[in-house]
Amino acid sequence: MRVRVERAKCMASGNCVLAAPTVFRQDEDGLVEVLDSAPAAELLGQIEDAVRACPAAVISLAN
Amino acid sequence: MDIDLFGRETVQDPWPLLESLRAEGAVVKNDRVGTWMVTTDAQVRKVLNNPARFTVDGCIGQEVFGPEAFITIDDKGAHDALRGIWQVAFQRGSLEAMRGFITDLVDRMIDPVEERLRAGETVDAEADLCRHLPAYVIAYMLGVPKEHRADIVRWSDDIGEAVGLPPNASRESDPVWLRARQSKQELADYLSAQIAHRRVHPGDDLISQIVHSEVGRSLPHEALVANSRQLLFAGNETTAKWLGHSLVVLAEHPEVRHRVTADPSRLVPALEEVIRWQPVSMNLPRKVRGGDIEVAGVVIPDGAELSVLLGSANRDPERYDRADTFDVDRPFKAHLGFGYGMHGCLGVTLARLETEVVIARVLARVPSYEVVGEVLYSSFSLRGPSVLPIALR
Repeated sequence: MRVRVERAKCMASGNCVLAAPTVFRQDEDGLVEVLDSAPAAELLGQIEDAVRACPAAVISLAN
Repeated sequence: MDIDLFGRETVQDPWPLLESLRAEGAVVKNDRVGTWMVTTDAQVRKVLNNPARFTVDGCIGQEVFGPEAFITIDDKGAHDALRGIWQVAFQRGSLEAMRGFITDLVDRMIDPVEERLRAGETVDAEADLCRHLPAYVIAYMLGVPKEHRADIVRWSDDIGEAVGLPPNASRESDPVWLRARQSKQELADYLSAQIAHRRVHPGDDLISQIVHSEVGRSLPHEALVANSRQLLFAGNETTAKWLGHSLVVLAEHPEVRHRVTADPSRLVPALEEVIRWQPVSMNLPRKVRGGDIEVAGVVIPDGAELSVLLGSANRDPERYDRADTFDVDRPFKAHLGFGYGMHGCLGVTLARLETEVVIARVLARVPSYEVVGEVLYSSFSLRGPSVLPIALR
């Protein structure tokens, strides 16, 4: 599983950090950063929540 | 500087003024209104990303919506717990299920408008079309009965006018403020009864969701009212104005209108450029807390109020090439039309869906509408057309 983000579209809502705090963080400007781009399978549910919760649709997930 | 930021002329055409403010600096003191205006993309992001030092607490929005409403809560934990109640309802997956409902509603609303246009009449597209659709959709989501939706539009309009007042408007004598206070109370009374009803008769709606959520069960009744009222307001006034802007901008750019009519897949990016170029949310007030703070080399004193000018930031030439040009082909960059950070728009996905459907249906049914008179704009902070005469030629 690979997590990708398009930072150029990020609106810094912080929703991803709420959904998956070990996978995403916000940098000092509030923009999304991926902490763990190849996360363990048991985090799939959290990451899917983050994908759905992102108002800017910047997070994608690939196998 | 001495600038009538909230005055009639600025509301009608704010762009020359905002350009001159940016030329003055990233932070400019407004002596008339008494606020520090933040004008650039980079500095606006910095301010909105620091809710601990730049608070909603003490600003006009908190007076209007109440300190219990999450849009006015600066504490991230408390804010996120409340906002989280409705998070799922406003996600793409949940909303996509409403596309059919919204399309039917839009078509029924366009029926009488199209009939009048084809009979040669001039129609006020804002009052007779744009203003109602978002109110009906959010009222439907809140489970508010049809017969009360006209009241909801009126209450929201009055409240919206108050949000657009300068911070130093008189709370004792300003007629806009007094009318808004009355409408706010009537809306609160109405929602209070709705909440009491849903306690006993829960449904599949947003009011029932907050009432019966874990967080909601621990909240006082007033907090349920304040949050529901905020949601209802935020879900209609703003989108109604985005719709109005979209109709005006497309009429002013016939080549773009032609392209998006011929190829509807180009419509969504065009509407996104509308909200960059003509954002509804032009100004977010914030207060400095926790001591003096420097922004872009300017020291702003503790307790001072900021006017965070999203409208200016969205035309910042440091961020956008030919920022003043409406260009649907520009490479996408995140703009600030839906805010930024913790208080960024919860309803952005719903607003995008509604705007896409409404404009697509208008273009399908009356693609050659023209704006045939002066468009009047209302409210600086939540700016958009209030009178929008269109006709077929």
